Amino acid sequence: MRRRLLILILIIPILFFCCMLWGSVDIPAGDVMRVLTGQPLENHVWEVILIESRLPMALCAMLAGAALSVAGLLLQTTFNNPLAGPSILGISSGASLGVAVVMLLLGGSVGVHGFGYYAAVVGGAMTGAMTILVILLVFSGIVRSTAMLLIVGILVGYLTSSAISLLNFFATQEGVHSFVIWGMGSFSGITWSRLGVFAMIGVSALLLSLLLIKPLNALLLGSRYAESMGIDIRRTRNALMILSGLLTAVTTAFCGPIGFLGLVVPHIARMFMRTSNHAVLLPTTALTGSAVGLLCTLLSVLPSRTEVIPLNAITPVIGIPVIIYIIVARKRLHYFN
Amino acid sequence: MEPLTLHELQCGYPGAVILDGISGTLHGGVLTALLGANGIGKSTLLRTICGVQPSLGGEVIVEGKPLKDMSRKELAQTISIVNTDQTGAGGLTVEELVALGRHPFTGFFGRLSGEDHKIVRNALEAVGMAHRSKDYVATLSDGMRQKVMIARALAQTTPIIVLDEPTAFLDAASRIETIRLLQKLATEQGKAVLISTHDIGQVLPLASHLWLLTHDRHFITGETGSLTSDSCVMDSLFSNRNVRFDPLRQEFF
Repeated sequence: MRRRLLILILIIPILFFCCMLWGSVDIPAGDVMRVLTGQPLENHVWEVILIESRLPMALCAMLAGAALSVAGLLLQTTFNNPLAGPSILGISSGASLGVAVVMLLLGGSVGVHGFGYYAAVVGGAMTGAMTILVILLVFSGIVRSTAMLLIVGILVGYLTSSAISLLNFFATQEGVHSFVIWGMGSFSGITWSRLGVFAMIGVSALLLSLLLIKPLNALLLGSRYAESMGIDIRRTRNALMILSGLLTAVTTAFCGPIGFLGLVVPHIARMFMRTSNHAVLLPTTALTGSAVGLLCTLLSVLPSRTEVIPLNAITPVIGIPVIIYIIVARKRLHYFN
Repeated sequence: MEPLTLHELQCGYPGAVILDGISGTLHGGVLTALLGANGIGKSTLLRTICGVQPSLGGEVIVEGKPLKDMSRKELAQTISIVNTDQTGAGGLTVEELVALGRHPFTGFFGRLSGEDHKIVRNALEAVGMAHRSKDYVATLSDGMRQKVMIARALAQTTPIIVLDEPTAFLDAASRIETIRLLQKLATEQGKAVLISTHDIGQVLPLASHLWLLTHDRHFITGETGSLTSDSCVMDSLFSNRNVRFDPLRQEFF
Protein backbone atom coordinates (compact mmCIF):
# COMPACT_ATOMS: atom_id res chain seq x y z
CA MET A 1 0.00 0.00 0.00
CA ARG A 2 2.91 2.35 0.80
CA ARG A 3 4.38 1.86 -2.66
CA ARG A 4 1.07 2.56 -4.35
CA LEU A 5 0.68 5.75 -2.36
CA LEU A 6 4.20 6.78 -3.34
CA ILE A 7 3.45 6.23 -7.04
CA LEU A 8 0.35 8.39 -6.70
CA ILE A 9 2.28 11.16 -4.95
CA LEU A 10 5.00 11.08 -7.61
CA ILE A 11 2.57 11.21 -10.54
CA ILE A 12 1.12 14.54 -9.48
CA PRO A 13 4.31 16.67 -9.76
CA ILE A 14 5.08 15.06 -13.12
CA LEU A 15 1.64 15.85 -14.52
CA PHE A 16 1.84 19.29 -12.96
CA PHE A 17 5.11 20.00 -14.70
CA CYS A 18 3.70 18.76 -18.02
CA CYS A 19 0.73 21.11 -17.61
CA MET A 20 3.15 23.98 -17.09
CA LEU A 21 5.27 22.90 -20.05
CA TRP A 22 2.68 22.28 -22.75
CA GLY A 23 0.47 24.92 -24.29
CA SER A 24 0.00 27.22 -27.23
CA VAL A 25 3.41 28.80 -26.66
CA ASP A 26 6.56 26.68 -26.49
CA ILE A 27 8.53 27.44 -23.37
CA PRO A 28 11.72 25.49 -22.60
CA ALA A 29 11.57 23.14 -19.63
CA GLY A 30 14.48 24.94 -17.98
CA ASP A 31 12.59 28.22 -17.96
CA VAL A 32 9.47 26.52 -16.58
CA MET A 33 11.61 25.10 -13.81
CA ARG A 34 13.09 28.52 -13.13
CA VAL A 35 9.65 30.11 -12.77
CA LEU A 36 8.45 27.27 -10.55
CA THR A 37 11.40 27.79 -8.23
CA GLY A 38 10.68 31.50 -8.06
CA GLN A 39 13.46 32.88 -10.28
CA PRO A 40 12.77 35.67 -12.80
CA LEU A 41 12.82 34.99 -16.55
CA GLU A 42 14.41 37.15 -19.23
CA ASN A 43 11.45 36.59 -21.51
CA HIS A 44 8.76 38.55 -19.76
CA VAL A 45 5.93 37.20 -21.94
CA TRP A 46 6.77 33.61 -20.99
CA GLU A 47 6.84 34.58 -17.35
CA VAL A 48 3.38 36.12 -17.61
CA ILE A 49 2.01 33.08 -19.46
CA LEU A 50 3.41 30.72 -16.86
CA ILE A 51 2.45 32.69 -13.77
CA GLU A 52 -0.81 34.26 -14.84
CA SER A 53 -2.24 31.46 -16.97
CA ARG A 54 -0.68 28.00 -16.69
CA LEU A 55 0.08 27.98 -12.97
CA PRO A 56 -3.42 28.99 -11.79
CA MET A 57 -4.92 26.62 -14.38
CA ALA A 58 -2.89 23.67 -13.06
CA LEU A 59 -3.70 24.51 -9.44
CA CYS A 60 -7.37 24.94 -10.31
CA ALA A 61 -7.37 21.56 -12.07
CA MET A 62 -5.88 19.88 -9.01
CA LEU A 63 -8.34 21.48 -6.64
CA ALA A 64 -11.38 20.89 -8.86
CA GLY A 65 -10.38 17.26 -9.44
CA ALA A 66 -9.92 16.64 -5.74
CA ALA A 67 -13.14 18.45 -4.78
CA LEU A 68 -15.36 16.64 -7.28
CA SER A 69 -13.80 13.26 -6.50
CA VAL A 70 -14.19 13.61 -2.75
CA ALA A 71 -17.77 14.82 -3.28
CA GLY A 72 -18.37 11.66 -5.33
CA LEU A 73 -16.87 9.42 -2.67
CA LEU A 74 -18.98 11.02 0.08
CA LEU A 75 -22.11 10.56 -2.05
CA GLN A 76 -21.29 6.94 -2.88
CA THR A 77 -20.93 6.08 0.79
CA THR A 78 -23.91 8.17 1.90
CA PHE A 79 -26.26 6.59 -0.62
CA ASN A 80 -24.53 3.22 -0.39
CA ASN A 81 -24.41 3.28 -4.17
CA PRO A 82 -21.30 2.79 -6.29
CA LEU A 83 -22.80 4.70 -9.20
CA ALA A 84 -23.60 7.84 -7.22
CA GLY A 85 -21.77 11.00 -8.13
CA PRO A 86 -22.36 14.74 -8.27
CA SER A 87 -23.23 14.79 -11.97
CA ILE A 88 -25.33 11.64 -12.19
CA LEU A 89 -27.41 12.54 -9.14
CA GLY A 90 -28.23 15.90 -10.69
CA ILE A 91 -26.33 17.92 -8.10
CA SER A 92 -24.10 19.49 -10.73
CA SER A 93 -27.21 20.37 -12.76
CA GLY A 94 -28.71 21.94 -9.67
CA ALA A 95 -25.58 24.01 -9.24
CA SER A 96 -25.74 24.89 -12.97
CA LEU A 97 -29.30 26.08 -12.60
CA GLY A 98 -28.23 28.29 -9.71
CA VAL A 99 -25.41 29.69 -11.82
CA ALA A 100 -27.78 30.14 -14.78
CA VAL A 101 -30.15 32.17 -12.67
CA VAL A 102 -27.30 34.44 -11.61
CA MET A 103 -25.61 34.65 -15.03
CA LEU A 104 -28.67 34.90 -17.23
CA LEU A 105 -31.12 36.81 -15.08
CA LEU A 106 -28.91 38.94 -12.87
CA GLY A 107 -25.88 38.99 -15.17
CA GLY A 108 -26.45 42.57 -16.21
CA SER A 109 -27.27 43.94 -12.80
CA VAL A 110 -24.43 42.65 -10.61
CA GLY A 111 -21.30 44.11 -12.25
CA VAL A 112 -19.90 41.26 -14.32
CA HIS A 113 -16.37 40.88 -13.03
CA GLY A 114 -16.43 42.11 -9.49
CA PHE A 115 -16.16 40.05 -6.35
CA GLY A 116 -19.91 40.44 -5.77
CA TYR A 117 -20.63 38.72 -9.05
CA TYR A 118 -18.56 35.68 -8.14
CA ALA A 119 -20.01 35.57 -4.67
CA ALA A 120 -23.44 35.55 -6.33
CA VAL A 121 -22.39 32.77 -8.73
CA VAL A 122 -21.04 30.65 -5.88
CA GLY A 123 -24.13 31.37 -3.80
CA GLY A 124 -26.37 30.44 -6.72
CA ALA A 125 -24.50 27.20 -7.32
CA MET A 126 -24.63 26.35 -3.63
CA THR A 127 -28.37 27.01 -3.41
CA GLY A 128 -29.03 24.90 -6.51
CA ALA A 129 -26.84 22.01 -5.34
CA MET A 130 -28.29 21.94 -1.84
CA THR A 131 -31.86 22.05 -3.19
CA ILE A 132 -31.19 18.94 -5.28
CA LEU A 133 -29.51 17.24 -2.31
CA VAL A 134 -32.51 17.88 -0.08
CA ILE A 135 -34.82 16.49 -2.78
CA LEU A 136 -32.61 13.38 -3.08
CA LEU A 137 -32.50 12.98 0.69
CA VAL A 138 -36.29 13.08 0.90
CA PHE A 139 -36.57 10.55 -1.92
CA SER A 140 -33.92 8.28 -0.41
CA GLY A 141 -36.22 8.00 2.61
CA ILE A 142 -39.16 6.98 0.38
CA VAL A 143 -37.53 4.90 -2.38
CA ARG A 144 -35.24 2.36 -0.79
CA SER A 145 -33.93 1.04 -4.09
CA THR A 146 -30.69 2.78 -4.94
CA ALA A 147 -31.20 2.25 -8.67
CA MET A 148 -34.52 4.11 -8.43
CA LEU A 149 -32.81 6.90 -6.54
CA LEU A 150 -30.30 7.28 -9.38
CA ILE A 151 -33.21 7.54 -11.81
CA VAL A 152 -34.78 10.24 -9.63
CA GLY A 153 -31.44 12.06 -9.77
CA ILE A 154 -31.29 11.78 -13.54
CA LEU A 155 -34.89 12.99 -13.88
CA VAL A 156 -34.21 15.95 -11.61
CA GLY A 157 -31.21 16.67 -13.84
CA TYR A 158 -33.49 16.81 -16.89
CA LEU A 159 -35.84 19.10 -15.05
CA THR A 160 -33.08 21.55 -14.26
CA SER A 161 -31.90 21.36 -17.88
CA SER A 162 -35.34 22.36 -19.07
CA ALA A 163 -35.39 25.22 -16.60
CA ILE A 164 -31.97 26.30 -17.88
CA SER A 165 -33.27 26.17 -21.49
CA LEU A 166 -36.12 28.43 -20.50
CA LEU A 167 -33.74 30.85 -18.82
CA ASN A 168 -31.55 30.82 -21.94
CA PHE A 169 -34.59 31.57 -24.07
CA PHE A 170 -35.32 34.74 -22.14
CA ALA A 171 -31.74 35.85 -21.56
CA THR A 172 -29.65 38.35 -23.47
CA GLN A 173 -27.29 37.18 -26.16
CA GLU A 174 -24.14 38.01 -24.16
CA GLY A 175 -25.55 36.20 -21.15
CA VAL A 176 -26.26 33.09 -23.20
CA HIS A 177 -22.80 33.23 -24.76
CA SER A 178 -20.96 33.41 -21.45
CA PHE A 179 -23.21 30.73 -19.98
CA VAL A 180 -22.58 28.36 -22.88
CA ILE A 181 -18.82 28.87 -22.60
CA TRP A 182 -19.00 28.28 -18.85
CA GLY A 183 -21.15 25.19 -19.43
CA MET A 184 -18.46 23.49 -21.50
CA GLY A 185 -16.29 23.27 -18.42
CA SER A 186 -12.81 24.68 -18.19
CA PHE A 187 -9.97 25.07 -15.77
CA SER A 188 -8.38 27.76 -17.88
CA GLY A 189 -10.76 30.60 -17.14
CA ILE A 190 -9.43 30.96 -13.64
CA THR A 191 -7.56 34.00 -12.36
CA TRP A 192 -5.52 34.27 -9.17
CA SER A 193 -8.22 36.21 -7.34
CA ARG A 194 -10.93 33.68 -8.25
CA LEU A 195 -8.59 30.83 -7.42
CA GLY A 196 -8.16 32.37 -3.98
CA VAL A 197 -11.88 32.20 -3.29
CA PHE A 198 -12.13 28.73 -4.82
CA ALA A 199 -9.20 27.47 -2.73
CA MET A 200 -10.50 28.99 0.48
CA ILE A 201 -13.86 27.22 0.23
CA GLY A 202 -12.61 24.07 -1.52
CA VAL A 203 -9.65 23.34 0.74
CA SER A 204 -11.63 23.91 3.93
CA ALA A 205 -14.39 21.58 2.72
CA LEU A 206 -11.77 18.95 1.84
CA LEU A 207 -10.18 19.25 5.28
CA LEU A 208 -13.57 19.07 6.98
CA SER A 209 -14.35 15.86 5.09
CA LEU A 210 -11.34 14.26 6.79
CA LEU A 211 -13.20 14.67 10.09
CA LEU A 212 -15.88 12.28 8.81
CA ILE A 213 -13.63 9.27 8.19
CA LYS A 214 -14.87 7.34 11.22
CA PRO A 215 -18.62 7.66 10.53
CA LEU A 216 -17.99 7.05 6.80
CA ASN A 217 -16.42 3.69 7.60
CA ALA A 218 -19.33 2.82 9.88
CA LEU A 219 -21.74 3.74 7.07
CA LEU A 220 -20.18 1.04 4.87
CA LEU A 221 -22.23 -1.40 6.94
CA GLY A 222 -25.43 0.52 6.26
CA SER A 223 -27.26 3.02 8.43
CA ARG A 224 -28.68 0.51 10.93
CA TYR A 225 -25.33 -0.96 11.84
CA ALA A 226 -23.77 2.49 11.94
CA GLU A 227 -26.46 3.68 14.31
CA SER A 228 -25.95 0.65 16.57
CA MET A 229 -22.28 1.61 16.85
CA GLY A 230 -23.17 5.01 18.23
CA ILE A 231 -23.13 7.08 15.02
CA ASP A 232 -25.67 9.91 14.86
CA ILE A 233 -27.06 9.07 11.43
CA ARG A 234 -29.04 12.22 10.83
CA ARG A 235 -26.21 14.54 11.78
CA THR A 236 -23.63 12.54 9.83
CA ARG A 237 -25.83 12.43 6.75
CA ASN A 238 -26.48 16.16 6.90
CA ALA A 239 -22.77 16.88 7.29
CA LEU A 240 -21.96 14.60 4.34
CA MET A 241 -24.64 16.22 2.20
CA ILE A 242 -23.53 19.76 3.02
CA LEU A 243 -19.88 18.96 2.33
CA SER A 244 -20.49 17.16 -0.95
CA GLY A 245 -22.90 19.92 -1.99
CA LEU A 246 -20.35 22.59 -1.12
CA LEU A 247 -17.52 20.83 -2.97
CA THR A 248 -19.68 20.32 -6.07
CA ALA A 249 -21.14 23.80 -5.97
CA VAL A 250 -17.89 25.71 -5.60
CA THR A 251 -16.21 23.68 -8.36
CA THR A 252 -19.18 24.08 -10.66
CA ALA A 253 -19.30 27.82 -10.02
CA PHE A 254 -15.66 28.32 -11.06
CA CYS A 255 -15.07 25.59 -13.65
CA GLY A 256 -18.49 24.80 -15.04
CA PRO A 257 -20.47 21.58 -14.65
CA ILE A 258 -17.83 18.87 -15.05
CA GLY A 259 -19.19 15.39 -15.60
CA PHE A 260 -17.89 11.95 -14.59
CA LEU A 261 -14.86 12.89 -12.49
CA GLY A 262 -16.78 12.64 -9.23
CA LEU A 263 -18.26 9.29 -10.14
CA VAL A 264 -15.17 7.68 -11.59
CA VAL A 265 -12.23 8.83 -9.50
CA PRO A 266 -13.33 7.16 -6.23
CA HIS A 267 -13.42 3.86 -8.14
CA ILE A 268 -9.97 4.41 -9.61
CA ALA A 269 -8.72 5.14 -6.09
CA ARG A 270 -10.43 2.02 -4.67
CA MET A 271 -9.04 -0.19 -7.41
CA PHE A 272 -5.58 1.32 -7.10
CA MET A 273 -5.36 1.25 -3.31
CA ARG A 274 -7.44 -1.95 -3.01
CA THR A 275 -9.47 -0.83 -0.02
CA SER A 276 -12.75 0.79 0.97
CA ASN A 277 -11.33 2.00 4.27
CA HIS A 278 -11.93 5.75 4.18
CA ALA A 279 -8.85 6.46 6.29
CA VAL A 280 -6.85 5.50 3.18
CA LEU A 281 -9.49 6.01 0.51
CA LEU A 282 -10.51 9.60 1.27
CA PRO A 283 -7.01 11.13 1.04
CA THR A 284 -6.07 8.98 -1.95
CA THR A 285 -9.31 9.88 -3.73
CA ALA A 286 -8.38 13.54 -3.32
CA LEU A 287 -4.88 12.86 -4.69
CA THR A 288 -6.19 10.73 -7.58
CA GLY A 289 -8.71 13.48 -8.33
CA SER A 290 -5.89 16.02 -8.53
CA ALA A 291 -3.94 13.76 -10.86
CA VAL A 292 -6.95 13.15 -13.10
CA GLY A 293 -7.72 16.88 -13.08
CA LEU A 294 -4.20 17.59 -14.32
CA LEU A 295 -4.46 14.81 -16.91
CA CYS A 296 -7.71 16.32 -18.25
CA THR A 297 -6.04 19.72 -18.50
CA LEU A 298 -3.16 18.19 -20.36
CA LEU A 299 -5.51 16.46 -22.80
CA SER A 300 -7.42 19.69 -23.31
CA VAL A 301 -4.32 21.63 -24.42
CA LEU A 302 -2.38 18.88 -26.22
CA PRO A 303 -4.21 18.31 -29.53
CA SER A 304 -4.53 21.91 -30.66
CA ARG A 305 -1.90 24.61 -30.55
CA THR A 306 -4.36 27.44 -30.36
CA GLU A 307 -7.61 26.34 -28.76
CA VAL A 308 -8.38 24.67 -25.44
CA ILE A 309 -10.78 21.73 -25.83
CA PRO A 310 -13.79 21.92 -23.46
CA LEU A 311 -13.35 19.67 -20.42
CA ASN A 312 -16.73 18.10 -20.91
CA ALA A 313 -15.49 16.71 -24.21
CA ILE A 314 -12.68 14.92 -22.37
CA THR A 315 -14.08 13.69 -19.04
CA PRO A 316 -16.59 11.26 -20.64
CA VAL A 317 -13.79 9.74 -22.73
CA ILE A 318 -11.88 9.00 -19.52
CA GLY A 319 -14.93 8.27 -17.39
CA ILE A 320 -17.21 6.08 -19.43
CA PRO A 321 -14.73 3.23 -20.09
CA VAL A 322 -14.06 3.08 -16.34
CA ILE A 323 -17.77 2.96 -15.52
CA ILE A 324 -18.39 0.23 -18.08
CA TYR A 325 -15.45 -1.73 -16.69
CA ILE A 326 -16.90 -1.36 -13.19
CA ILE A 327 -20.31 -2.61 -14.31
CA VAL A 328 -18.87 -5.54 -16.27
CA ALA A 329 -16.33 -6.56 -13.62
CA ARG A 330 -18.76 -6.01 -10.77
CA LYS A 331 -18.41 -9.57 -9.51
CA ARG A 332 -14.64 -9.45 -9.52
CA LEU A 333 -14.28 -6.08 -7.81
CA HIS A 334 -14.10 -6.97 -4.15
CA TYR A 335 -15.35 -3.70 -2.78
CA PHE A 336 -18.85 -4.14 -4.13
CA ASN A 337 -20.24 -6.74 -1.77
CA MET B 1 -29.07 -7.21 37.83
CA GLU B 2 -30.77 -8.48 34.70
CA PRO B 3 -29.28 -7.15 31.47
CA LEU B 4 -32.64 -6.20 30.02
CA THR B 5 -36.24 -6.04 31.22
CA LEU B 6 -39.36 -4.90 29.42
CA HIS B 7 -42.26 -3.31 31.31
CA GLU B 8 -45.63 -3.10 29.57
CA LEU B 9 -43.83 -2.10 26.38
CA GLN B 10 -45.88 -0.74 23.50
CA CYS B 11 -44.22 -0.80 20.09
CA GLY B 12 -45.13 0.33 16.61
CA TYR B 13 -45.53 3.64 14.88
CA PRO B 14 -47.50 6.67 16.08
CA GLY B 15 -51.10 5.84 15.29
CA ALA B 16 -50.36 2.18 14.59
CA VAL B 17 -49.65 0.13 17.70
CA ILE B 18 -48.23 -3.23 16.63
CA LEU B 19 -47.41 -4.78 19.99
CA ASP B 20 -48.83 -3.90 23.39
CA GLY B 21 -48.27 -5.00 26.97
CA ILE B 22 -44.91 -6.66 26.33
CA SER B 23 -43.24 -7.60 29.62
CA GLY B 24 -40.29 -9.91 30.00
CA THR B 25 -36.69 -10.35 31.03
CA LEU B 26 -33.59 -11.16 29.04
CA HIS B 27 -31.10 -13.25 31.01
CA GLY B 28 -27.32 -13.09 30.83
CA GLY B 29 -25.22 -16.11 29.92
CA VAL B 30 -27.91 -17.79 27.88
CA LEU B 31 -29.27 -17.81 24.35
CA THR B 32 -32.86 -16.56 24.13
CA ALA B 33 -34.83 -17.15 20.95
CA LEU B 34 -37.60 -14.83 19.77
CA LEU B 35 -40.08 -16.86 17.71
CA GLY B 36 -43.14 -15.79 15.81
CA ALA B 37 -44.81 -15.71 12.40
CA ASN B 38 -43.70 -13.32 9.66
CA GLY B 39 -45.06 -9.81 10.00
CA ILE B 40 -46.12 -10.31 13.61
CA GLY B 41 -43.74 -7.65 14.88
CA LYS B 42 -40.51 -9.44 15.79
CA SER B 43 -38.32 -6.91 14.05
CA THR B 44 -40.34 -4.02 15.47
CA LEU B 45 -39.84 -5.40 18.96
CA LEU B 46 -36.10 -5.84 18.39
CA ARG B 47 -35.76 -2.34 16.96
CA THR B 48 -37.56 -0.92 19.98
CA ILE B 49 -35.31 -2.84 22.35
CA CYS B 50 -32.23 -1.54 20.55
CA GLY B 51 -33.48 2.03 20.82
CA VAL B 52 -33.61 2.49 17.04
CA GLN B 53 -37.36 2.96 17.13
CA PRO B 54 -38.89 4.91 20.04
CA SER B 55 -41.35 2.96 22.17
CA LEU B 56 -44.94 4.17 22.24
CA GLY B 57 -45.40 3.31 25.90
CA GLY B 58 -43.97 1.30 28.74
CA GLU B 59 -40.29 0.97 29.39
CA VAL B 60 -37.15 -0.84 28.35
CA ILE B 61 -34.73 -1.12 31.28
CA VAL B 62 -31.13 -1.83 30.28
CA GLU B 63 -28.88 -2.82 33.19
CA GLY B 64 -31.12 -0.98 35.61
CA LYS B 65 -31.33 2.18 33.52
CA PRO B 66 -34.26 3.28 31.33
CA LEU B 67 -33.30 2.99 27.66
CA LYS B 68 -34.64 6.44 26.83
CA ASP B 69 -32.26 8.06 29.33
CA MET B 70 -29.21 6.49 27.70
CA SER B 71 -26.96 8.44 25.38
CA ARG B 72 -26.22 7.15 21.91
CA LYS B 73 -22.74 6.15 23.00
CA GLU B 74 -23.87 4.45 26.21
CA LEU B 75 -26.40 2.47 24.20
CA ALA B 76 -23.75 1.45 21.67
CA GLN B 77 -21.61 0.23 24.56
CA THR B 78 -24.49 -1.88 25.92
CA ILE B 79 -26.32 -3.40 22.94
CA SER B 80 -24.76 -4.59 19.70
CA ILE B 81 -26.73 -5.90 16.74
CA VAL B 82 -26.42 -8.34 13.87
CA ASN B 83 -28.95 -8.41 11.04
CA THR B 84 -29.07 -9.33 7.37
CA ASP B 85 -28.67 -5.84 5.95
CA GLN B 86 -26.63 -5.68 2.76
CA THR B 87 -23.29 -4.14 3.53
CA GLY B 88 -20.80 -2.44 1.26
CA ALA B 89 -17.87 -3.65 3.30
CA GLY B 90 -16.41 -6.09 0.75
CA GLY B 91 -13.36 -3.88 0.32
CA LEU B 92 -12.46 -3.98 4.00
CA THR B 93 -10.34 -6.72 5.47
CA VAL B 94 -11.98 -9.02 8.00
CA GLU B 95 -9.91 -7.36 10.69
CA GLU B 96 -10.93 -3.85 9.64
CA LEU B 97 -14.59 -4.83 9.65
CA VAL B 98 -14.42 -6.34 13.13
CA ALA B 99 -12.50 -3.30 14.35
CA LEU B 100 -15.52 -1.15 13.43
CA GLY B 101 -17.10 -2.69 16.53
CA ARG B 102 -14.67 -0.64 18.62
CA HIS B 103 -16.29 2.60 17.38
CA PRO B 104 -18.15 3.44 20.62
CA PHE B 105 -14.83 3.26 22.48
CA THR B 106 -12.37 4.94 20.11
CA GLY B 107 -11.74 8.64 19.69
CA PHE B 108 -12.70 11.08 16.99
CA PHE B 109 -10.61 9.47 14.26
CA GLY B 110 -11.27 5.88 15.34
CA ARG B 111 -7.60 5.08 16.02
CA LEU B 112 -7.23 1.69 17.73
CA SER B 113 -5.17 1.19 20.88
CA GLY B 114 -3.21 -1.98 21.67
CA GLU B 115 -6.09 -3.04 23.88
CA ASP B 116 -8.54 -2.53 21.00
CA HIS B 117 -6.40 -4.70 18.72
CA LYS B 118 -6.39 -7.42 21.37
CA ILE B 119 -10.18 -7.31 21.68
CA VAL B 120 -10.54 -7.54 17.88
CA ARG B 121 -8.17 -10.54 17.78
CA ASN B 122 -10.01 -12.28 20.60
CA ALA B 123 -13.37 -11.69 18.89
CA LEU B 124 -12.05 -13.21 15.67
CA GLU B 125 -10.69 -16.20 17.56
CA ALA B 126 -13.99 -16.67 19.38
CA VAL B 127 -15.85 -17.09 16.09
CA GLY B 128 -13.05 -19.14 14.52
CA MET B 129 -12.18 -16.61 11.83
CA ALA B 130 -8.75 -15.47 13.04
CA HIS B 131 -7.06 -17.27 10.14
CA ARG B 132 -8.88 -15.05 7.64
CA SER B 133 -8.24 -11.74 9.40
CA LYS B 134 -6.16 -10.25 6.54
CA ASP B 135 -8.54 -11.38 3.79
CA TYR B 136 -11.09 -9.13 2.13
CA VAL B 137 -14.64 -9.53 3.40
CA ALA B 138 -15.75 -10.03 -0.22
CA THR B 139 -13.80 -13.30 -0.41
CA LEU B 140 -15.86 -14.89 2.40
CA SER B 141 -18.89 -17.15 2.05
CA ASP B 142 -22.22 -15.95 3.46
CA GLY B 143 -21.83 -18.10 6.56
CA MET B 144 -18.32 -16.80 7.20
CA ARG B 145 -19.46 -13.25 6.63
CA GLN B 146 -22.15 -13.65 9.25
CA LYS B 147 -19.55 -15.04 11.67
CA VAL B 148 -17.45 -11.95 11.06
CA MET B 149 -20.47 -9.74 11.74
CA ILE B 150 -20.91 -11.63 15.01
CA ALA B 151 -17.23 -11.05 15.79
CA ARG B 152 -17.83 -7.36 15.13
CA ALA B 153 -20.65 -7.43 17.70
CA LEU B 154 -18.32 -9.21 20.15
CA ALA B 155 -15.65 -6.56 19.60
CA GLN B 156 -18.24 -4.00 20.66
CA THR B 157 -17.93 -5.74 24.10
CA THR B 158 -21.59 -5.20 24.94
CA PRO B 159 -23.34 -7.29 27.59
CA ILE B 160 -26.29 -7.69 25.20
CA ILE B 161 -26.25 -8.87 21.57
CA VAL B 162 -29.47 -8.71 19.55
CA LEU B 163 -29.63 -10.64 16.27
CA ASP B 164 -32.50 -10.14 13.82
CA GLU B 165 -32.82 -13.32 11.73
CA PRO B 166 -29.05 -13.68 11.35
CA THR B 167 -29.44 -17.06 9.66
CA ALA B 168 -31.97 -15.98 7.04
CA PHE B 169 -29.76 -16.26 3.95
CA LEU B 170 -27.51 -19.10 5.09
CA ASP B 171 -27.39 -22.73 4.02
CA ALA B 172 -28.44 -25.44 6.46
CA ALA B 173 -24.94 -26.19 7.76
CA SER B 174 -24.12 -22.52 8.33
CA ARG B 175 -27.45 -21.99 10.11
CA ILE B 176 -26.74 -24.72 12.61
CA GLU B 177 -23.14 -23.58 13.04
CA THR B 178 -24.17 -19.96 13.60
CA ILE B 179 -26.77 -20.79 16.23
CA ARG B 180 -24.34 -23.16 17.96
CA LEU B 181 -21.72 -20.42 17.97
CA LEU B 182 -24.17 -17.96 19.53
CA GLN B 183 -25.08 -20.42 22.27
CA LYS B 184 -21.40 -21.04 22.99
CA LEU B 185 -20.63 -17.31 23.13
CA ALA B 186 -23.55 -16.65 25.48
CA THR B 187 -22.41 -19.32 27.95
CA GLU B 188 -18.66 -18.73 27.69
CA GLN B 189 -18.71 -14.92 27.72
CA GLY B 190 -21.78 -14.50 29.94
CA LYS B 191 -23.57 -12.37 27.34
CA ALA B 192 -27.32 -12.01 26.99
CA VAL B 193 -27.94 -13.13 23.40
CA LEU B 194 -31.35 -12.57 21.84
CA ILE B 195 -31.96 -14.04 18.40
CA SER B 196 -35.04 -13.87 16.24
CA THR B 197 -35.25 -16.77 13.80
CA HIS B 198 -37.46 -19.08 11.79
CA ASP B 199 -35.11 -22.02 12.31
CA ILE B 200 -37.19 -23.37 15.17
CA GLY B 201 -35.91 -26.92 14.94
CA GLN B 202 -32.29 -25.75 15.20
CA VAL B 203 -32.78 -23.17 17.90
CA LEU B 204 -34.93 -25.11 20.42
CA PRO B 205 -32.17 -27.46 21.63
CA LEU B 206 -29.72 -24.56 22.04
CA ALA B 207 -31.81 -21.69 23.40
CA SER B 208 -32.50 -22.08 27.09
CA HIS B 209 -35.19 -19.38 27.06
CA LEU B 210 -37.90 -18.48 24.58
CA TRP B 211 -39.75 -15.28 23.77
CA LEU B 212 -42.88 -16.16 21.83
CA LEU B 213 -45.00 -13.72 19.85
CA THR B 214 -48.22 -15.63 19.22
CA HIS B 215 -50.36 -15.19 16.13
CA ASP B 216 -52.82 -13.03 18.13
CA ARG B 217 -49.90 -10.88 19.33
CA HIS B 218 -49.58 -12.18 22.87
CA PHE B 219 -46.13 -12.28 24.36
CA ILE B 220 -45.10 -15.41 26.27
CA THR B 221 -41.69 -15.91 27.85
CA GLY B 222 -40.17 -18.75 29.79
CA GLU B 223 -37.68 -21.56 29.85
CA THR B 224 -37.61 -23.60 26.69
CA GLY B 225 -38.26 -26.91 28.50
CA SER B 226 -41.46 -25.79 30.17
CA LEU B 227 -42.83 -23.93 27.13
CA THR B 228 -42.23 -26.73 24.65
CA SER B 229 -43.68 -29.46 26.85
CA ASP B 230 -47.07 -27.85 26.30
CA SER B 231 -47.98 -28.08 22.63
CA CYS B 232 -50.82 -25.55 23.10
CA VAL B 233 -48.34 -22.76 23.79
CA MET B 234 -46.22 -23.55 20.75
CA ASP B 235 -49.29 -24.05 18.56
CA SER B 236 -50.38 -20.49 19.35
CA LEU B 237 -47.37 -19.20 17.38
CA PHE B 238 -49.05 -19.80 14.05
CA SER B 239 -52.67 -19.33 13.08
CA ASN B 240 -52.47 -22.25 10.67
CA ARG B 241 -54.30 -25.14 12.35
CA ASN B 242 -52.75 -27.70 10.03
CA VAL B 243 -49.28 -27.02 11.45
CA ARG B 244 -48.87 -28.34 14.97
CA PHE B 245 -46.04 -28.72 17.44
CA ASP B 246 -44.89 -32.17 18.48
CA PRO B 247 -43.47 -31.98 22.05
CA LEU B 248 -41.70 -35.32 21.61
CA ARG B 249 -39.83 -34.45 18.45
CA GLN B 250 -39.56 -30.81 19.54
CA GLU B 251 -40.54 -29.75 16.07
CA PHE B 252 -43.46 -28.42 14.04
CA PHE B 253 -44.92 -30.80 11.52
